[in-house]
Amino acid sequence: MKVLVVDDDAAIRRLYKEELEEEGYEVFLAESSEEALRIFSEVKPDIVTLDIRMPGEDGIEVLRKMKEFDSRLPVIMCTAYDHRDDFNVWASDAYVVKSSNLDELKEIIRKCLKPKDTR
Amino acid sequence: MKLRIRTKFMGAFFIVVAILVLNSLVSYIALNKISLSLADLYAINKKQQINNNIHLLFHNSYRAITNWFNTRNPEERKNFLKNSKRISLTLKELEESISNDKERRAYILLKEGYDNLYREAHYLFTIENNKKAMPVMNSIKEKTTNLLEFGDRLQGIFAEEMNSQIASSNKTRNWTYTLLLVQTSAGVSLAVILGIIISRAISKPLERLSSEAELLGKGELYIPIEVKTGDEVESLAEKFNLMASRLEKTISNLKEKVSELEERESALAEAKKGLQETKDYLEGIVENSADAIITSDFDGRITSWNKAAEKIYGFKEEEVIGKVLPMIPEFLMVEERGYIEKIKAGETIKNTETFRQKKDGTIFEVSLTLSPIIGPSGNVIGVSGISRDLSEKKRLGEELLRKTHELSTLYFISDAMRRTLNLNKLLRIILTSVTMGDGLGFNRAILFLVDEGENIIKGMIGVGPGSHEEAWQIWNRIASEGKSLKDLVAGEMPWDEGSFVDRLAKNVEIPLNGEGVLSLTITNGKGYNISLARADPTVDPFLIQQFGTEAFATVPLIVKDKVIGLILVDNLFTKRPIADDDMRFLTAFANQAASAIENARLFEKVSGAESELRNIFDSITDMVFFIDTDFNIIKVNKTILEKLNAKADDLVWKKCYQVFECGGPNSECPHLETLRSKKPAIKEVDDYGIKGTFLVSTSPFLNQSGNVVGTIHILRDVTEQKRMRERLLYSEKMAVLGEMAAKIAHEIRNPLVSIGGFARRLETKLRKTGIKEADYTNIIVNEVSRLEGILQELMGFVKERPLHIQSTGINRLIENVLSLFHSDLKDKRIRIVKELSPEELEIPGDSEQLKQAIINIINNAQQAIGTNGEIHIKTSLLGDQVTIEISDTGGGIPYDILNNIFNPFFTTKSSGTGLGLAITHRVVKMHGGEIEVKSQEGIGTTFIIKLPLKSVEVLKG
Repeated sequence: MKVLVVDDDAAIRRLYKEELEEEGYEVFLAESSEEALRIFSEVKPDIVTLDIRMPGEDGIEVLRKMKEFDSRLPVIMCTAYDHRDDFNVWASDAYVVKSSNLDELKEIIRKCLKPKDTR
Repeated sequence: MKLRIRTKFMGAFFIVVAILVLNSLVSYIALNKISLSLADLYAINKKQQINNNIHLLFHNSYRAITNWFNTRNPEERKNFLKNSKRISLTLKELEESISNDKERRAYILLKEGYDNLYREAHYLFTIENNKKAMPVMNSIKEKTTNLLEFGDRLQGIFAEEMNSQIASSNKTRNWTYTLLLVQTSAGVSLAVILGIIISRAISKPLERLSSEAELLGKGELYIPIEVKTGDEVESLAEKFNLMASRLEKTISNLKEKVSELEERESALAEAKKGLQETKDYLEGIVENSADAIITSDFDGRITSWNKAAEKIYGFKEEEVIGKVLPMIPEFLMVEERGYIEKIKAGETIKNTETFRQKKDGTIFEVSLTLSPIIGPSGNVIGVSGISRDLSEKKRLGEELLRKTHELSTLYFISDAMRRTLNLNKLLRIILTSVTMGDGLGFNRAILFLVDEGENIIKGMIGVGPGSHEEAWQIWNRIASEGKSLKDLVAGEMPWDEGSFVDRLAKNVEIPLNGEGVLSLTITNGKGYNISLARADPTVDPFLIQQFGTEAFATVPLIVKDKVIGLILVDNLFTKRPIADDDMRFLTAFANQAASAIENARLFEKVSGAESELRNIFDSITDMVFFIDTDFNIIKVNKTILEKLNAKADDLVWKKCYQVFECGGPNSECPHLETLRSKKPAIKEVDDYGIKGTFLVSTSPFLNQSGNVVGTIHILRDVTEQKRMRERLLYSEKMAVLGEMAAKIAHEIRNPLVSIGGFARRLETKLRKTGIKEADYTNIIVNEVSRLEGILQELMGFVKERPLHIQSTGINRLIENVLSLFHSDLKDKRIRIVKELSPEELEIPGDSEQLKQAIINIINNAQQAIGTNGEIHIKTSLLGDQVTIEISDTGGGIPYDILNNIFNPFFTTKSSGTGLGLAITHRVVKMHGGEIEVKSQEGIGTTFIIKLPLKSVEVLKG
């Protein structure tokens, strides 16, 4: 399973990569919107974790473009704080408040990939 | 012998006769000669006198010319001409007396010199400018000097002649001496004999001759010498000697006299000039005197009559001069004669009062002073009388008395009028004054006022009896009660409102610009005295028809050049004619009355304005009150009474700080601020006697001299505005805060995630190796979690979450919260005392957020208590509100920070976000509720949350 992690923070990219590889995912990293879209078109990931706030193109714009390309692709928005109330308009599949504890994220990724398997 | 003797005697007689004849002949010749020389001397002397006169006249001429030159006084020119006439006369006289060519030549020089001078002087008089006249003047001066010189020359000639004449006289004398000596020596013997016989006969005429010669010597030269035969030759000779020397003396005397006369004449001219001045001055006094000054002789014939006399007596001066006392009445003539006799005796009659008669026959009283006129010789030559017209003085005196009475009446009435500001009462006073006997004393009076809006003259009030019977009754009553105007004005006035005349008056309305006398009084601003109403076309017919008036008068009421009305008066019942004096008094009175009416009207306006202001004052919805400088409440408006639920009497004269509970005069007091600065001050005050927030503005209340006598307070209830404002401020603050917090959160979140994440990985790895230091990483992980929690809470606060309203049971919610704290509180030995309402309190609310609100309070309480304490929770339903009271025994919150505890980030704890109570506050407010905190330092704190019960329906719908 290929996971694309988009985050402008290098430390966080590394943390996510190590943690998710331990879970058995193939992890691709992107540090900007442009890179994210390029890698996205190259590797065709099964799932994307997307930081909302990034330099250059906004995370939400990246989300929109990815969904245009493949509307069924699960995208998990990672935010610095609680955006629960704005959730609907983003049309993402899930969102998670970034935390040092990645258990919640892992759980969501699992959940998002499961229906696909069943399908 | 006899014959011889006779012969001898005869011989002697003949000799004597012959001698005597000879002697007489010689004497005759000698005397004739002497007589001739004496006549010559006299003629010369006469010429000298004439010449001297001319000399003097020349002087005078010259003086007149120079005076004219200096003063240009035409009188001086006249003097010159007058003098010139005298000069030509005198010159003629001189010419006639001229006896030889020498004199004639000198005379001609003199005459021609004078003619030139005369012409030149005439020329001088034609020159207008003194500057031009100067050379002529100089020439005149020179000519005059020459003339005087010629005169002197002539005088010299005369003196020469005189001397030669005297010398020839002496010759004659000597010759006579010789002749007489020869005769004497020849006839001496005979003379001795006969002398004795004859001497007696001769001596008498000789003595006479001698005495006459002596007279001659004295200067009486023209007396003819009667010569009679005589023989006292020596005595005769002596006499002639004497005579000659006397003549000499006389001539020198004459010279002296001439110069003396000259001096005297100039001194006299000076004295005359001084006298003229004095005379002019005295005449001025006499002419301008206000008293008649009259002089007469002892027969009473008038000799002078001054202007005042003309004025007082009516006679012109020319009519009375020379007449006998025309101003004395016939019956006083005898007395007057007596006066004149006294004056003659030198007495003076001072300030006696008597009568005099004018030209037209009027007898009048005068004060008279008579005094004698003393002539130059010191004797009384006439009478001077000064008379002063006393009738004028007496009339003035009477007038003064009457004026004083009028003025005192006016004064009293005007005083009463000034005191009366009620227009109706004032009008009544005015008319009563007009009709009362000791006022103006008219029978009836009606007062009209101009109504400018309607353009009419309106009858306002009328007083006076309606009929003869009423008049008699009322006047009798007033008289018998002895009531004066003063009493009537002060008390009850006799003419009631609604009397017959009053009713008549009130019905009158006439156009302002009419033709009638009432309209004319207004438009012309002057009074009319109508003596025959029926015959006067200007009289308004209704006056005759309704008022029955026959003669009446009107006076305008004028204030500052504006006619505001008029007073009409008549004497219908007494028929007394209205005199000019009445009119004058009435006019004076009307002026007073007019200004009083104007005052009363102004007062009405002012009091109208005042009640208007009072209404405005009371209708202001803000609270308004007025205090003096000592904080005493003077006036309050209705709003204050309503808000404080008090009566005006409860508040007025109380100190404002007692009523409004602001804690007494302090530095915050806007009143003091205003007193200090004399400018308005504004302060916002909470709970100013009444709950709420008030904007208190104080404005200075100034008296007329500009001093602050108090302040006007206006209290506006701004509680609602304040809440709105605070809310706005709060949300603005929160918006800024939220944005900032979001930024910080994002920046901190990422590093925290990294730190925490890698620490976890490290811990997992270290645990596998089993080393003890794995615990350290565990600490890192926990601390990061705590930080993340704080971050979460902060984000939760700044990011306002909408309410998810559902029916929420408050009691249930409290139990729920308490179960969360159960173990914590047990550990800290904090007791929970619940006093929950027996029935569940269901309200519409977001249970999650309300739970958080309660949690935050209890959290705060247990932190305040620390260990060992009590938390008391009480829920109840009060009206339409649910109340939750949470008290602790945590020692209370200091007063000065009590207001801050709901502010975000305000905390007294070292490890708090300061958001807990802020979130609670916000949640309660979002539910439409209130939160209050009461705290007593050293004891504890109570939070009271009030949530609305009713809005369930609204929110559900």
